[in-house]
Amino acid sequence: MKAYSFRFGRAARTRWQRALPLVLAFIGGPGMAQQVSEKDYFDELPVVLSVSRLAQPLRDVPGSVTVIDRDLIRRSGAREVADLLRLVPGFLYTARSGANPQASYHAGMDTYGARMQVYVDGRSLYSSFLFGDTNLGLRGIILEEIERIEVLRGSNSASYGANAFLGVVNIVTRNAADTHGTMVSLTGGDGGVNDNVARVGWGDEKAGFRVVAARRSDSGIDGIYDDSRVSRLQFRADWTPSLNDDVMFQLGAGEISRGDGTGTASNPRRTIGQATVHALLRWQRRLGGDEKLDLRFSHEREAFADRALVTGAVLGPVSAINDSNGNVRRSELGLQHSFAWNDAVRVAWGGEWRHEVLHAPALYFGAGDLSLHQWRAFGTLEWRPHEQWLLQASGMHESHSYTGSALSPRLAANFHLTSDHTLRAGASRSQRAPNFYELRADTRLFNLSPGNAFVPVGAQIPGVGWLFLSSGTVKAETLISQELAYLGHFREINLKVDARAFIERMNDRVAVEGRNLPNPALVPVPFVAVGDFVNRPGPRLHGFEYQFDWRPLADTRLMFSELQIRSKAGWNAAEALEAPERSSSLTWLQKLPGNVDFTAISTASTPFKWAGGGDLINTPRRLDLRLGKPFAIGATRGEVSATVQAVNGGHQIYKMTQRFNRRGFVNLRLDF
Amino acid sequence: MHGRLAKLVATACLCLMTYGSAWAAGAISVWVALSEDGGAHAEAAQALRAELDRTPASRIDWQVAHWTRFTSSKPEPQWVVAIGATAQRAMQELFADDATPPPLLSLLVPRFAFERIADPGRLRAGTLSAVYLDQPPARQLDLIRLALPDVRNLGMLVGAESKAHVVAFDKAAKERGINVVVAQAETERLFPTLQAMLSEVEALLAVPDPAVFNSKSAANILMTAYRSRVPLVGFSPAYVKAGALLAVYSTPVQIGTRGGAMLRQALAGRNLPPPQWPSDFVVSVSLDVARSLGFVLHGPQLEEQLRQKERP
Repeated sequence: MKAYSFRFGRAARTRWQRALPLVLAFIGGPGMAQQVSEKDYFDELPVVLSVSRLAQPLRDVPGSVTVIDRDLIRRSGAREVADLLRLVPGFLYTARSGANPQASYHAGMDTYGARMQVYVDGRSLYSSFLFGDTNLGLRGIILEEIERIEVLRGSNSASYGANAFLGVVNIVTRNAADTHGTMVSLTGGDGGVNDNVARVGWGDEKAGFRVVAARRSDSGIDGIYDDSRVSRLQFRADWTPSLNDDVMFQLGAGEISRGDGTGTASNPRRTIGQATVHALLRWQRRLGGDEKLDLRFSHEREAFADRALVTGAVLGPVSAINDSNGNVRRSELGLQHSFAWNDAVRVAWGGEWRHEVLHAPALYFGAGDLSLHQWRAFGTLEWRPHEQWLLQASGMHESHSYTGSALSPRLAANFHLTSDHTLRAGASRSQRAPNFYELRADTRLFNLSPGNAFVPVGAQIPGVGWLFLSSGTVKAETLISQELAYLGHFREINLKVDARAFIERMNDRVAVEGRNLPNPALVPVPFVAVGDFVNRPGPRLHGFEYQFDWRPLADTRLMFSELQIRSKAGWNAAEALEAPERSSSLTWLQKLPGNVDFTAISTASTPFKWAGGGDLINTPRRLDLRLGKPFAIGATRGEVSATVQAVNGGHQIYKMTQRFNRRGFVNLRLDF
Repeated sequence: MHGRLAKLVATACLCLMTYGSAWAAGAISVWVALSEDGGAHAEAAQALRAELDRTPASRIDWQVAHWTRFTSSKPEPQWVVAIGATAQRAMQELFADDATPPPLLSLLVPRFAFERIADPGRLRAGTLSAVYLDQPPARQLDLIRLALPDVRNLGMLVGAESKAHVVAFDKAAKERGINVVVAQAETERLFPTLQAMLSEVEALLAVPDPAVFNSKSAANILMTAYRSRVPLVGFSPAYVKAGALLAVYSTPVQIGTRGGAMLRQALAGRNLPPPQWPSDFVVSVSLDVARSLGFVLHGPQLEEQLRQKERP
């Protein structure tokens, strides 16, 4: 009854609003303001979707890109971005613990995602604290916020700068104009899964605003201490002051707390905390049909809390606080200008400045605050000499406070066999800049235990109490890659094919090596073993990856992707084991009768060993199933879904002793 | 004062010329009243004249002017052509008291505007006809089928004015296996309605309604739909230029030409043909938008396919 009277009220109001211009028109002359006339057909409209606003079609992109859209995200049943990256050809997935899920391109070379670059709306998530990290940043992403994820398979420092080394994940969150109203999502299930998201959006056609609060928690993998809780609060505003300007502003704050430690004396169980706040301002201005300026400023602060009391014996009992607490703040300012030189040539060029300040007194003994500046200048030239050919050359010159300057070039040629079939050849050189820790680490342990005749309280523990001392000589890692790719669309049978063959040579891989320092202070322990960072020849990877995306029926979508890779160790034999010979994923999306969404995702890989402590594990096939039922009650839309991960039984993950067990959860989502 | 005098003199001259020349030479007197000087209206008038002048069966004394210039129904012409809705209304009113008004052909007026204005008595009597400006629903849906074969759910945002279109579109869509999702969206509820709809449809069809699609709202509708990667099918070249994927429409020249053919038929002694959709049309495609959304479309080819479909 209430709803009826509301509707009546609105209709009445609407009628009045419609009637008013009519009355005015009558008074003013014979116009027909709200009635259809030939004016509707002949009135000019502003050019809205100019070339500078349109996304570049995949066939013209100088690299292989996989797009994961909102529909696929929802129907995948994924709770994290890393879960979704399993669907991207060439990506491998593991979880160092339940609190550290991660995906990596081609090889499991590190446990923090330091060799991948991640952008969210143009802001880099790369954290240079400790070993360089994108995994934590990715854990903080709220899936309900995402419009689409574009994954650039391959390396592209020429466009994205250092650290766009093995894969670039570009996350585009939803425009605030598209999320008016209220949304609530509740998830609960096995393994302590308890995820809640609430979103409120408001505004008009000129300006949109959104606030999102989200919490995601679970108890991780059975048998280990890896409970985790991710909390986030985000604000986004989108303002379109004129047709040629888009202004976006974001504020975000988040906290991740996660269990860590194996429970040994040197690695006790503890809860690690990370807190972040960020602000992002982006202004895109279209100067003409083909010309655009993109100005971006971001500021971010991160604080890490990880302190543990470790115990041991060095000629008697010793104990110390292993302290990785610290904080980092960074600012980034970037400007890009793109325009069409003429019908055949397009140019994009710009610059970026990045400044970071790190404060972590226990990790950088006696160093106080550390800071670095990075300057970047980049340019891309896109030349279409013939309608079938597109040649692109790009390069980035970076200058780094510690490691000097470097140039990352890239060349690509796209040949359109037809409008639906494209061949591409490309070559590039990319780099990963060493981070603070690799350059300046000096981490020591000081004895807290009384009663040791040789090591007084407050003294540095000899022998094992100097964990890392960086010699500071480490250079940037480089990756030279060559690729041949094919992108095809067989419209008659609704099949898209994306294939890429590659050779990737990594040089100057940064590795940890122990070195002995003389220890004259204590005769019974003549040497101190410290960890140092050195450059070593890296692996040589070659192989191919492909994806079939097939819609045989209107309600059916099948995606199959596979990676075949061979790795040749450059330095130690274990390196060759970091890439599986074969890894694949099959995704089946089906609309069932009664408007029920069915999803099955199956992934598997041959044995490989993740660097940083992983075991050589044959990852068996993992099957995830999901059933979802969208519904509408009046103006409220919703969906109820149930997901079971590893429905075919648990399997080992990362270590022989760790099992990812079957886990089910249900979700209710309401939009009103 | 000066202006009024000039207007009087001009009107007097017009009357004298019309009466004088028609009387003097025995030519057929045709008035062409334009809603607006210049632009599309003038193009349609030129095409109309060119079509009749192409085969000069009988001599025609043309009086082409803005509708305000025809202030008196005397001396009465033999035929009246109104180009635009305002001109149609004015010409009907001018001869409203006339027991046997000259036949009136209305051009460049959308069907619903024509039917709203049209005098039912004159329609029944067969002295009023039209070549509509808009396209028949079947043609628009055939185009969507040809260009976007994967579309199963087609969104239509309508206002109070355009909701009358829905029945015809729904029927034509069902015959082609397309489900039409309709949402009534007045200005204040436009964007929430559009957003809710975009998750359910694979394409959006714009139908003219100044309360929904106007120069202010078009930009936001186009941007919002594009962000959801839902193509918009427009109804005018301006929409394609602004960012719609494609549109089928008839140009003023095509409509003027068709009007000319109808008039020639009537002058040859036959009855004025009944109101009808334009037979000739153009399919326009935005290649940049198509490329960006992953479609491969060719306007002239679609146009030809659509013509073949309509051939008996």
